[in-house]
Amino acid sequence: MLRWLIRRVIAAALVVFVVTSLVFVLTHVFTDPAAVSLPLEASEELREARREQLGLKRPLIEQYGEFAFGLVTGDLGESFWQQRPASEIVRERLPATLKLVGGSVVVTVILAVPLGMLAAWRERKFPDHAVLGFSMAFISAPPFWIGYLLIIVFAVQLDWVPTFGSRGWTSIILPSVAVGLASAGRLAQMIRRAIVEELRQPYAVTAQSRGFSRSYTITHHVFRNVASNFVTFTGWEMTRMFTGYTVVIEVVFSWPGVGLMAFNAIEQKDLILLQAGVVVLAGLVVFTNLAIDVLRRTIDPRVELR
Amino acid sequence: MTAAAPAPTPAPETVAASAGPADDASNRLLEIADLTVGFPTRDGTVHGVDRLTLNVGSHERLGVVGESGSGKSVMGLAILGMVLPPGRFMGGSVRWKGQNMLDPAVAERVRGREVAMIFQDPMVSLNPLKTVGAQLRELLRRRAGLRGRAVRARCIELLDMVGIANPAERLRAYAFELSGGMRQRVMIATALACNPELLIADEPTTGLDVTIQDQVLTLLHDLSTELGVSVLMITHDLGVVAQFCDRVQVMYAGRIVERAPIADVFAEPQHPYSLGLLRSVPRVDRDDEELEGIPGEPLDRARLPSGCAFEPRCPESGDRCGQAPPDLAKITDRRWVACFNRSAPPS
Amino acid sequence: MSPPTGKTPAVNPPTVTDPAAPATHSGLDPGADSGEARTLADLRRHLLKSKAGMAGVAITGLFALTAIVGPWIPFIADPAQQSLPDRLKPPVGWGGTWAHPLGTDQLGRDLLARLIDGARISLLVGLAAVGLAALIGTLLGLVAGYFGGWADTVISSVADVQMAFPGVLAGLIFVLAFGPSVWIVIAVIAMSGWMVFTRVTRSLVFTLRTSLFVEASEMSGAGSPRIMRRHLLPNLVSSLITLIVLELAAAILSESAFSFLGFGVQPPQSSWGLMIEQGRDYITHAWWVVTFAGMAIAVAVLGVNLLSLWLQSFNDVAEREQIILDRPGM
Repeated sequence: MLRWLIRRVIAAALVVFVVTSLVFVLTHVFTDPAAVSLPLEASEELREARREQLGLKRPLIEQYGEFAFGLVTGDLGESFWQQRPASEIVRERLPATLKLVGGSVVVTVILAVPLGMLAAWRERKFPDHAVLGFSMAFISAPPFWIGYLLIIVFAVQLDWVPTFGSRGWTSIILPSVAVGLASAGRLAQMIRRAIVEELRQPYAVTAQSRGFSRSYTITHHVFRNVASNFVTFTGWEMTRMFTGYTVVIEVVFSWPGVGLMAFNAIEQKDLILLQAGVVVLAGLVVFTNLAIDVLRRTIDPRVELR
Repeated sequence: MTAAAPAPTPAPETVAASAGPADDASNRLLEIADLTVGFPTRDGTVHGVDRLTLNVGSHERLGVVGESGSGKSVMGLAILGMVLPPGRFMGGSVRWKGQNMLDPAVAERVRGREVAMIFQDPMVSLNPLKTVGAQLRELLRRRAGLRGRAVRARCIELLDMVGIANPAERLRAYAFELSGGMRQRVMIATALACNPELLIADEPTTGLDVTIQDQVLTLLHDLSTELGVSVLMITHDLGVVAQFCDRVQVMYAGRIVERAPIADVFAEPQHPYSLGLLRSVPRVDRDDEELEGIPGEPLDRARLPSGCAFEPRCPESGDRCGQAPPDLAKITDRRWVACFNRSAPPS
Repeated sequence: MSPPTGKTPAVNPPTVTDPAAPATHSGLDPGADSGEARTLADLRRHLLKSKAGMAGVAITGLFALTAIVGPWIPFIADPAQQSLPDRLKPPVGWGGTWAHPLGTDQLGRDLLARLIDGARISLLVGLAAVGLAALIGTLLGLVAGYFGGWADTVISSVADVQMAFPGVLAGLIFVLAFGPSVWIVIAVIAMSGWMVFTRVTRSLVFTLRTSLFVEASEMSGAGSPRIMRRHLLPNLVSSLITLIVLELAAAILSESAFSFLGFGVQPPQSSWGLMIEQGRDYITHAWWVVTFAGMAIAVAVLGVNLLSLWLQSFNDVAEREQIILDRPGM
């Protein structure tokens, strides 16, 4: 287990290395951070001065070394926009994003597990079709639109919760639901499919042939055996949240997280801050994938060592 | 402890001699009539079993033989009122002691208690994440209604009965810690947990070593005699049938093509398919004969010919065979065959 | 499963006349017509039985039709016509008039006309992005699967890293570097979707190569590249169509998200996502702009998703049938 874990961590670190290097190539080879941060009509002297200031005149490899060293020591560069270290800004913003993702995962699981189990239990019957309908509707609707509908109904019309921002614990409900509905739609279908396939496994057929009802077989035999799949699916949804939903939903609800920070960085043409946001979110994705693998191994000893 | 037989037990010879619907009606446990199970596919509905009729009496060991894909397994589950989606029952009846097994309420009561099934591949038929003991206890508590100390005592008794040494220790084992033969013995123990009157054994020896196969068959045979349990043996292997059963039904493409006492089939198979099956089995008593396979390919179940399903592979097929499927007809008092070329003697 | 059984989920398989087909099957094949006709007939029969499939085809058809003939639909206002006195007029039923059935936006433009206009952009961007992803992904998959070896190693690892590296995040950097535009959106969506096509193509080529190797050695005459073309293409086409439809739904959603953030389609062009972005400031008193624009996205994506669901189920049936009949323990 320990050797496996070490190998897995090294692999994750390797992915982080490749990903951050890619980000560096994107920001330093394909683009010019100095030019981007200045207005289009800025003079060439001004740009030169900015390049000098940012240390962009040095050889690329040296800059990369500094970038990589900075990453290891937690230094993500200096934001032009806010005139302070990007890592400091990210540290301030990260808790809000984690809270939002946490809330969204809770909503997702609370909805998806019962719905997925219901659909599998009543396979090809009305509840199954109804759950499929629910899933398709929420997979198809853009989450930011769901966010606005929730605002219109619950914040504007009913005035139950704050419209936006992070004020009080109720403010997390709407953004979490906006993210959670789409994820729940997908997760419910994945859980249903996993259970239905597992119910075809000989041991599940055996259990039913001994007179255990379909529902008992699902709750007492099958569900534990698909728990590792369930962890994987939930993890996939979490990575989706980190890479897409947070940015959009944080913009909709003015939720002060890393996603909104990245959005603002683009508006402010602050390439360093955006780079910091991208690196952190990508790091969270890699970490989530690692966590999924570890959790799967702990839950289900049958999961193959890789 | 053994399940009481509902009717006066006839001598085994009588059971062996009787074949098909002609046997004594009061003695029947299981009656299947015209059962059809359909699976929707892209090429239309495939009938897993097709107008199947079959009876099992008490204290009987009946064999059902057919190659893979002939619908044997679908039949086994259907007896328990089970069909895997997207399949569904399309007609006919399954009656257990006169009760309708296609009624879910009846089926759920009978399953595991009065009729229990043993599956092929014991490797995967036990729950991989539960110990042997947990699986037995669950059955005894929830299906047999045992409580307290009786549960453990019965667990040990069951494992002992199926010939597992150190039963108390084995209760803590997971399926993957046991050998194939042991797993099948545990399977049999779970099947016997509630004292069933009928055991359906679906290819119980497939995937086991030859010596283990023999042990498992012997165990099943002894248990069925000892406990008075009827057995419906579903297999592709005529050797298993010869060793185990009193009576045999040969199945092809979801239909019964021949039914007869076991000795008659071996001595003089009537249906061309039975003949082919027999010729493809190595026989110890006649080693001069050459082994033959059945010509042609196994069936594509989605595209049955309009006539006799065996017609494309049949060495004796004639003009009538391609037109309509033949019915199962009585040709002697103990033997029924579905073939146009085997007609009943004038009565 | 060998292609000639006629069970392959192919859209255009030259199955029955295929020289590789074992002769024994012809006896069991009632009324064998051409493989193509049979599959198309199957497709129609399967569609008529599926309500979700019918709904998917209908919605997607309507969506495509709107995108194509949008500008020529009669009685629809000019989507670009601004009229400040008519700003934020409510839809019919909430105090609006039939002049603007769904009301107007913040510049007094007719909402219905703008929704119809937006269909074209959504579909075009979606198709372009998925087409690009499919083209790149399939080519790489073919190379990886056909040549194997180091080419496969390189392509597969790049695909793996791409899976771990969210393309949307890289897209944000592109947006900042090159400024927001439709082209960036197309490139970003293609960049985050190509590896799906690579993986499927690669595994298809791989399995086929292994099974054909055996077949080809038994037959004389036909060289393996020729067999490859004959067998691979039909299988590939059906898988690719299914994948393209699936990815199209995701691409339309991504386009709307990018346009909503202001990174995609730029005014004065209209896009459903952009309409939500423009209407978001007015949600407290003019709910209809955001609501209807989002509804258009949701319905269009739902249609494409239903279509994809049905295509997947159609392709699954042959395999499911095998599972049911061949596995005794089940």
